[in-house]
Amino acid sequence: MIRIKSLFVSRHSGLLCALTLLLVGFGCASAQFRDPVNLLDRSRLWIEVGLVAVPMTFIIAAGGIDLSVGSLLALSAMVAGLCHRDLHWPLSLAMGMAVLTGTVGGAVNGFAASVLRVPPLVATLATLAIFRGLAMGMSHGQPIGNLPAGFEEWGGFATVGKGTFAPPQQLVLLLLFVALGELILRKTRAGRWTVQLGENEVAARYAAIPVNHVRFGLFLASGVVCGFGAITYMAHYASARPNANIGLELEAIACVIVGGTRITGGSGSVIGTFLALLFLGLLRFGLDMTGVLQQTQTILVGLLVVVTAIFNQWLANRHDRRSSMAFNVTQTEQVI
Amino acid sequence: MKSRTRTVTTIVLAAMLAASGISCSKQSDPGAPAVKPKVTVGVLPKLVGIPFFNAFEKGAMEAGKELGIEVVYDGPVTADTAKQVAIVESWIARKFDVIVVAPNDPEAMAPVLKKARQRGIRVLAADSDTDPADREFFVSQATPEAIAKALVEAMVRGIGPSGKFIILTGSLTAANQNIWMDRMEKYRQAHYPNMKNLSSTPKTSEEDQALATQVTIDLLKTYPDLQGLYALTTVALPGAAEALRKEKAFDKVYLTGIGTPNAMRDYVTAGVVKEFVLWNPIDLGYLAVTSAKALLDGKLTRETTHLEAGRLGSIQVIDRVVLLGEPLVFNKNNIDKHDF
Repeated sequence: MIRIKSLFVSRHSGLLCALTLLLVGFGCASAQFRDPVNLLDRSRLWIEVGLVAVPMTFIIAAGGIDLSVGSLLALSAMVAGLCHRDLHWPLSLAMGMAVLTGTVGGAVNGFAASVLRVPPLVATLATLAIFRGLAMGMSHGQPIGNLPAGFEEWGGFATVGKGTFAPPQQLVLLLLFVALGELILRKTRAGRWTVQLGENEVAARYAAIPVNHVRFGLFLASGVVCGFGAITYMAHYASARPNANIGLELEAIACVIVGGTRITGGSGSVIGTFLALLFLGLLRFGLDMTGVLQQTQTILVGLLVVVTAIFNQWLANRHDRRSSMAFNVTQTEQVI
Repeated sequence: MKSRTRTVTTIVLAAMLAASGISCSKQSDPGAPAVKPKVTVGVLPKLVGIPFFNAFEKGAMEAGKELGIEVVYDGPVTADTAKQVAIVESWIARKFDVIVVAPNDPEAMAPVLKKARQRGIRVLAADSDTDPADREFFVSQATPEAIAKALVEAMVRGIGPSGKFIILTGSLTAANQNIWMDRMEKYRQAHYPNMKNLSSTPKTSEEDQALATQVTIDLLKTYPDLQGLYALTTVALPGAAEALRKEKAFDKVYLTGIGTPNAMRDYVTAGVVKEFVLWNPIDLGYLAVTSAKALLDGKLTRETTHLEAGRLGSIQVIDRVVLLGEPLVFNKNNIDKHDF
């Protein structure tokens, strides 16, 4: 029991320290930063990254990677936009089409990575280009606008409740999704399989884990989430854009890695990913509010990501060593 | 053990919140009068770090100093719409008085500009227009018709009234270039119907000079009968010129377009490019900030027909557009008089 507690604390203590420093530091430096209305409103910019980072945590924990998320999100949005504009589908049906497109795209990735045994890095690098190309070609690079005003309203202004502390609806949905992700990763067989697959694929096969199914399922889930991300994107930017979210995959992967998930697979934490999202988002927000120019920000954010990731990793390693000490000792004795 | 974990998280989070709360409450009360009494204008270019917008910045800062207001000039490192939206979001939070934008993509900017205006922030467009409903005034370099005419006439001087040409633009969503291309086509149909565009969709260079060079080299191979090339951004023109110089193709293909004198000087001196079109971006930045101040002072309203703009003198205002003037045509005779 005590071990579990210390495991949780030390896994994320680096990030929690960094977050605390950030909140206190910027909170004192800028009145706009500590204004809850600003702070909550800002979260609208993180929704898409946060959404795709959850399945990304699973995929990386399973030893894979999905580089196609940004392209698939743009493609899903464009398909929905075309259905709405050219086929005059009602918005809800068009949004369903976005999710369906995401699902199909995810299935393509999953098929390549599991049945065809293409390494995920290669498979999704290919679909990164293919999905983007399709999104661009669909409307000759033109964005699709003229979405219903109510939808745009939802993207920019809808909150749960009223008043100063009312969070955007999208943020609440994201929080629920993060909680669900953590639950699945920690408490279900699918979650355990994911981690075991990342730890050692051969061993996982011998342990009768349906490796191909797990891998296919993870990419499929990632695709579905891209479809939902397309919906929040379209609402926020009042349009579907073929050049939407270029580089989304890198932002999501950064959250996963800074959040303490091992890049080679075998361990992962959705909560860690979410804390990293908060850290990166608040860092950007704080730098914006204190008037740091964009060029400087890019450098600062890069540096701080490296420092935080190293610090977090160091704490986690130190802890892992400590907690597995007893185990190691017995193992060594046996070898001797 | 689940509850333990939860307790620990709760404690840590509570401690964090308390820590930030305590340290903030110290500041917030006496901090109130320190809130800026000065007027702040945010100027958002399409991207930072290219010569055109560096010159634009110079003019904006000059006007800020002259008028005694604070000008914050910041933009994305690449021509990125989402980053522009994020910057406007943060300026809304910082409660700027006026926001001047050169949008990469007017439609995507619409919701955030609407939000800014709802929060009482005045919005101007400069260099590249938003949807007219999203801003009060557009500070324009010159009318699209005048720019289109200057470009087509420059091309006709190069390849004659029945040559074959192609257009190289920035991105397909760039509003400026799209409207110029539309007006160029209208002007061509009216005056030079025998000129022929070899590619109905323009080629794109995405505000990337190296890409413009590569695309131009490819064009020379794909269209052996090509006679003229328009490069419609200040990044695409030197990129295309570099391609012609490298491939020694400037006797065969006549290049003109939109460029800055400093980036084009070597190519004009070497004879790779004979003429190109631009306005003065320093003056445009100066006019943008001057208009922002006039807007706040109530000197720029829907009834205004002429605006007194400091060293620029009296500037024409038509239909919510503040007009800098006529485009300039640069060639080897006048290029050395301009440094931007």
